[in-house]
Amino acid sequence: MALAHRTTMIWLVSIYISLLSACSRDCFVADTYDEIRDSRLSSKHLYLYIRTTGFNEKESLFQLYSIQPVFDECGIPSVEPVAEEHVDTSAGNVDKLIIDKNRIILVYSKNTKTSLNKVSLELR
Amino acid sequence: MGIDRLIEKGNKCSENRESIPGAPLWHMGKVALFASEKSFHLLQNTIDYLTCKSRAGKSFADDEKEFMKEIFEALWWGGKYHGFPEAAQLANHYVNGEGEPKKLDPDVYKTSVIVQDVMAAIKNYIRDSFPNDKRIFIMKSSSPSFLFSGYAKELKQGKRQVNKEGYLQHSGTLLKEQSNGRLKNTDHRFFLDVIATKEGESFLSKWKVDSYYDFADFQKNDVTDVPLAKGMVLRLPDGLSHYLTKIGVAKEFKYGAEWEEKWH
Repeated sequence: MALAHRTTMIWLVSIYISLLSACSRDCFVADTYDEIRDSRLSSKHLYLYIRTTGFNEKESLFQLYSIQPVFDECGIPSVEPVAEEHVDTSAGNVDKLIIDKNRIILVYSKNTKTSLNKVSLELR
Repeated sequence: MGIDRLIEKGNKCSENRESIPGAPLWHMGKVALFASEKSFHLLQNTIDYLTCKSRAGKSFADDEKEFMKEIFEALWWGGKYHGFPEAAQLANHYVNGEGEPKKLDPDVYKTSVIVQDVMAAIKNYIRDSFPNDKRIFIMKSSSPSFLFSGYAKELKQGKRQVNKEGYLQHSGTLLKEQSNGRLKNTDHRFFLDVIATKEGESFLSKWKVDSYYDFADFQKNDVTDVPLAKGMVLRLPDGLSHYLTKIGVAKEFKYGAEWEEKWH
């Protein structure tokens, strides 16, 4: 019994030490990304993502990159986005996403909610 | 039944599985320590199987309930030792707290950039608006007289960097700065309440955050990724976490923090 208890304790200590270094950067949970593919973006070498972040409360942000990023296990991108805009759900539903140079502009409305990855896209 | 056979059964939940792995923390440790693909697939496969059952509104056997409870307890271990003590406490409280309210160390809020900036703006507003004939002043970050005033103007979206500063949302909720992982996993957005009293030229403020711990159901399709090792990220649907409240494994609860401040 004592041996079993000691073995369990050794395992638990090993586990939490290993959990400390499980990720290249510390995170509780990882951010997730969903790429919005559009030929107009490709032709301008732009990459648009929806970043979903948080644990029990999720928030979404649109991020624009000029170089295609790679994300690590924590969801940290290899390059910084050139633009980023949070979706404020209290302002309404996102009706349109405008990319104006290196800016993301979200147009909200009271219309029926559209899935964020199907939002109307305008490039200026 | 061998692990391979369990994995092979994948997302099917038309028939009950003969065995559910005990001690998910043990398997998570094996993934983290030895990059054990078998343990990783066993964990993910079991989560997928239980997701399938919960989508179908089926009841969970005792070992299935215990598995999910231990997943949240394992998150407590991970969070506590990764520097997310509040998120760890909340995950554990979800499955062990019986729905009782949970008070947090206010530091997790007080150290936030957006909280500090909104507090400063509210204090300016109170200083200029405190009625001469009263000793007490009660307001929220969503109070229209503050939210649509010049005091809050520079705190709104478009005026600040979301990643480093957060901002005050249209509804008056504070969206925390995204770089603040400690608060992000504890409370992503919240109202800030204050009760201020005036004594001579001094003020005493009692600040308060009230939040609610719950997960979205399957309709939202949200998924939480839990990184265990390089290339091994456990996918935990929020709908499954929500379903735990329907089968008596978890209970939603109120949580938050309070703190006081004297100022002039």
